[in-house]
Amino acid sequence: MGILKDEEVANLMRAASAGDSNAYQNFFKAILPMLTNMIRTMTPNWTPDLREDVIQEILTSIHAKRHTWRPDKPILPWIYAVARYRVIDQVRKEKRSSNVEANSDAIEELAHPRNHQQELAHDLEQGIRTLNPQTEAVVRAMGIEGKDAKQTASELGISENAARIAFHRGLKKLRAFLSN
Amino acid sequence: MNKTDLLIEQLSAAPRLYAKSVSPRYWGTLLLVSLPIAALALWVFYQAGAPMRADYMGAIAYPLVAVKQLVPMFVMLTAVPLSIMLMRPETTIGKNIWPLALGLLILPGLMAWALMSAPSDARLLMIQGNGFIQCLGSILALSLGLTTTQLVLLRRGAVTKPMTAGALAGISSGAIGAVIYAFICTEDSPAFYGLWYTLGIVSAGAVGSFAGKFFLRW
Repeated sequence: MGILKDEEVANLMRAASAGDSNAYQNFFKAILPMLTNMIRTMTPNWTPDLREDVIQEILTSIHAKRHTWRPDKPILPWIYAVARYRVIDQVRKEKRSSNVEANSDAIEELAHPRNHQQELAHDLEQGIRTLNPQTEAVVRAMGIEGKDAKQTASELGISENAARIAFHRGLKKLRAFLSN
Repeated sequence: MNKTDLLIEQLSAAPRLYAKSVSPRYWGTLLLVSLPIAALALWVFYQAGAPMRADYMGAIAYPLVAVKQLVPMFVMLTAVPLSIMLMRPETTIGKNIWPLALGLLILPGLMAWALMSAPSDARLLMIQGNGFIQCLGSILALSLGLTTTQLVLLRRGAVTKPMTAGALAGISSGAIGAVIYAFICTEDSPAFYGLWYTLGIVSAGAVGSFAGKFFLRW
């Protein structure tokens, strides 16, 4: 279908209002590409899912409010007005929900103004220093440098099993330290 | 078949539209609600010691008394069609606002004229009259039920300018309130009613606009 003609669409709606179900279906199919284009232009950042949802809301609104179109008036401006209202309504809803998120982020930032990663590194370092020297060495080797138990054991002159146990205990103590 | 196609199929299963004439219904309902409100209000005013003015029939013959009812009537008659227009989503009011705007300016215009031709030390007393709070409060109170009625009627439409539509509903309701109040109001100086009638109507419009913002969503 080429450019949508107001008169053709209006005729379909008139036939539908008189009870023609096929005409009504054709009416919806005729305006669907126009709605899709319009929404894509109005909301370049939306996901396809969200656009699909809004299109469905628009179709439902057109159905529910079709008595507000006067058959002696052009129908495309009417459709456009309904669609525009639905899109704006959706944008308002989106904005409201993202404002809530932005606000809670801001509150979080006020409560914890420091850089979280640096903070965590600092705390970890403090924690590791509280461990006994051998456990500390094992945790540094296995937890931070990423060596495996065998390599760590041979470097420190302990058994592989002892390295695993020390690592396990070290992590447990660290966890307790960090959660305080 | 995707969800949109499915929806189209569902919707097109109920194509028939039982068209209702919007405009007669709107006017009819408004009149039907206005009459009992007027009757009830006159009874309440009577009970409260402010009966319908005894000289009404004689006073109404004077143009400066008659305008107290004629101008609000004109405001109502120019505001209601705009509300009905706004039930169609594509409506923009534009130049159609002029008759209403002019109607709202008549009483303040008369007020300015009355004040200019009065001695300066009498002006404040003329504006204050004997009870502007009663006047303002009554017009606003009388408007509330009518504004609610109109908002309910407007919800059947597809209003895309809810605050404008709500304001217009409030203004016409305030205007009807002023017509009713004028039956008992004995303040006949334009310096008084030019301000307080207008303020009553405009504040009813503000209430309507605020209510419309929330109540006219769809």
